[in-house]
Amino acid sequence: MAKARITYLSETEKEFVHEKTLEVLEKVGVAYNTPKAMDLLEAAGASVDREALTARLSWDVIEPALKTVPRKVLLAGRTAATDCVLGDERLVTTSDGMTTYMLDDVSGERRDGTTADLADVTRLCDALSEIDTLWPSPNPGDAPADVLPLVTQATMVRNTTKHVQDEVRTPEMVEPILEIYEAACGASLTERPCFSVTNCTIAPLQHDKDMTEAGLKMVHRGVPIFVLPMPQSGTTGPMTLLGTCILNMAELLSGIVLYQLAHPGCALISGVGSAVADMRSGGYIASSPEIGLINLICLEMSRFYGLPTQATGMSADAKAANFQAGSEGGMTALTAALGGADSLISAGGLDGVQISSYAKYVLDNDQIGALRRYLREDTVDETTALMDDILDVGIGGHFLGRKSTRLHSRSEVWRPQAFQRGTFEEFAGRPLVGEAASRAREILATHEVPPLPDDADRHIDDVITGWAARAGLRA
Amino acid sequence: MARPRLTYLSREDREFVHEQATRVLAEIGIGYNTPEAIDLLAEAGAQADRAALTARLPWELVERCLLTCPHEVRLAGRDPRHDVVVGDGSLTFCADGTATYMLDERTGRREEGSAEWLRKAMRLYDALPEVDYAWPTISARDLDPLTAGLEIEAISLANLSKHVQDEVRDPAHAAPLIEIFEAVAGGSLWDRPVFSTIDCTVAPLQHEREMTEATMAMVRAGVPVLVLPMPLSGTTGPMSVLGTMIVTVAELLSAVVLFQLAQPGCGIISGMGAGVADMRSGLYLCGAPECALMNVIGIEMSHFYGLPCTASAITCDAKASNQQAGAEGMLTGTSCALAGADTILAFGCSDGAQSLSLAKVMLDCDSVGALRRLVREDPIDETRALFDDIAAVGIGGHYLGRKSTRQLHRAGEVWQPALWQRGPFEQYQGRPLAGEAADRADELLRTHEVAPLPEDVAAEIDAVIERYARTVGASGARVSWHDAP
Repeated sequence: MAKARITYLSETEKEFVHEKTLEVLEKVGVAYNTPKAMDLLEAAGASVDREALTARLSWDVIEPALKTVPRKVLLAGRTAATDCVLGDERLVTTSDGMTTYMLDDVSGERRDGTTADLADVTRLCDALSEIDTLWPSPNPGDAPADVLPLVTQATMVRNTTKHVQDEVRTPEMVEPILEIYEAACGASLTERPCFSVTNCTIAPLQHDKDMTEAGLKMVHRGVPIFVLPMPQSGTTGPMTLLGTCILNMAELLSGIVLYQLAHPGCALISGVGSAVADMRSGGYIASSPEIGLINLICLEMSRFYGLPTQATGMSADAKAANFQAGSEGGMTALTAALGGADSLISAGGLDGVQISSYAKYVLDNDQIGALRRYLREDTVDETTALMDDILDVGIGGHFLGRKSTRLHSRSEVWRPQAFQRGTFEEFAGRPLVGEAASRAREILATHEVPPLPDDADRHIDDVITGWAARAGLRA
Repeated sequence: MARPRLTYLSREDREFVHEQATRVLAEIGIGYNTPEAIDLLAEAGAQADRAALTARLPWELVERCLLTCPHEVRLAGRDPRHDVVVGDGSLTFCADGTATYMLDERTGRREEGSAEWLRKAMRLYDALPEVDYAWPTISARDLDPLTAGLEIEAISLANLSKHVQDEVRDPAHAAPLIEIFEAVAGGSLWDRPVFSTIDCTVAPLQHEREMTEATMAMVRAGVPVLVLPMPLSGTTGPMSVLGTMIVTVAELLSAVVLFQLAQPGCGIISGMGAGVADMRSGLYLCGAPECALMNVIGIEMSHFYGLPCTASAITCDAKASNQQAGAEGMLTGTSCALAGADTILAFGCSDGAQSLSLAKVMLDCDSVGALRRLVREDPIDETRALFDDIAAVGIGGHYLGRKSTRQLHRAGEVWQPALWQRGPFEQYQGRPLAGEAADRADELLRTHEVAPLPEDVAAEIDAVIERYARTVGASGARVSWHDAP
């Protein structure tokens, strides 16, 4: 069997990264910034500073935590048909988020995202065959701030049956958000985890109090946690890729330890959010060769620890769905996928994931399709080599009339949905980005997402109005 | 030290491809289509059919010929500072071709290639450090077809101080071209091969008579050869990636045998030209994921035989420099670079290498820069772990003020694109990327000057072309390589 894969670090180099990561956790430690973490960590043998809310972690504390992490993670959909299992050989993909703006692909103008945009983008991603799970995008900037997280999640469950992954930034939001998902799925999240939560650590070596307390509540409710360290080389991380990866792994392990202590056996996913800073603007660079390499190191180290993984790829720094976007995303996504990522954050983001573009979702769908064909494991034998045909056709001649040509053309060669193949004349005056934007509009005009049951729909409205009333807003 | 490395076939899989390719050579054989080849092959022990001009090649013969192939091939530049060695562990990039049309990315329109466009394209390649050497990248359709085979090379050499690689399609061109190249090299091509030739086999399992005879003459004068099999899955190759590559390897080895018999020790580079036929239009696809896998298999098999190799990447099926172009180019480009290609064909081509765009040349330079950074060998040790910085910054804080940040940023830890747009959205509003790229190409063409050919060399080229023009009866009033528009 032939399957493309990349190797980067040698075994000795992995040991080196491991040792350095432990040295950071033992000598420098991590700030958890919440007293709730301190009890758990101290009981497990970590050396804690209750005043500074920090802890130093030795391998004795980390190793047992790693042993209880499940190797596979069910990311359930609203319906069983859209369930995904992360760590199950097949690459799982998710759309990227959380952008601020929507791009008009034809005029090049951008504007603030709205709830209506979030609903449309979600429905579009629901229809696109290569996108398995979703992050919300864009941010519904028109929703009242107090209920924005709830409006976001309600919009998601009403516009997709696919699994949703998002941050929960405060512990107060945990109950209403889980209520929305349990109502939508008609089951507890322990049974059907149709939502997973992103837990961003704060580089260097910190956890956010509110987000961590929210995470601690959610692990008890069956919600998988996607731990996402995001140090950036040059600003919140050291200037080398290697140093940034060591910081990434230290933050990751500190999250693993905390959540496994809180709820042994809870589902955790190792995220690679590390990147490089644009030293000219100070901004985040979403896609570059360095991010490909950071992904490779962190993926190899996560596998070293036996953790399921979710890498970044395909989002771009380009300002439109153009050549640069295809190139940047193509390189980063291929590198991460070949590095063995179980899941890939892989569709939609432009301008360092500040902007969503309808055309880019449609085009990324083709990019993912091509990637999946590329990653397929293929048998190498006389049958797949079509040796009989080669020997029969012999010198000169052609393979057009062969039965195998007809039989295998669809399975052997991937076919794009939006990419333009064929004669130049056929596509003259039909710029790709315009065609892709039109296709998105066509999909939105016709694609229907199965509605929620009436009672679930009403219940979700009640959750939001109840929250708004408690927050002192008008319903 | 760490360098990412892509692998596809297992050792057993590579053995399998080898066994099947040698089986094809031994059982079916190859159509060489020239008596000149058959004489050499019969003498060397191949089972030749003089009437059909075919030969079956036993492994013993193939193996013997592989042993005389050099593992490194020098491609000399007109300027020795641009010499390239294929197979020395470096990764180099060659400008692709040969496109029929020039594409204007601003209007989306295309026009037929001309001598003037060839001149401009070569001059642009001369200016770009990312381009190590080049094919004459665009057809000069206005040249007299009788002399174009010589004049295209003259234009290329006059406008590029780097190595030139191209087909020689007619054996009658071999002698005058060798004269031209020797004049440019200032001596024997064995010492300074300023030109290498491309030998395209004709799938399945054939050689073209004229090109083969021309190539045999070229290798005997010290010219290295890029062997480029081009079977297409579904038409001239079987409908499988694996089967198409078995045909490729068989054709490659058949050329290795012939040219090593013609000139033992001649420089041979294994080229990847296999692709997929678009079953709807019958056209050649080069940016499909299957093409990327074919390249990877080709690279792995070339290394299996100890041959340096040229992969085909970056060129796309997209009709313009759009997201599809970037995606297709990077799928093949990343694959080839990670799989260890010695040199990669890149720069400027779209629509299955039928169109060339100077804007895309510029955009591809950034793709190439990114690939070079991706496959760079980096140390994995204390100097790069920056533990002292991590400990000193500790929890919270930032690395902006660290000495290592300044030093390592300057040392190139992070690759910087020349053209790709990073930074605030507002900075680039109303500045579409393809237009910026076209502007940049125009600017380079306005300012870059190529070191001219020495006058005596130019005069000698003139004399060779004039002599040849008279023998073939070309018109004295034709458009010539010198003519400015």
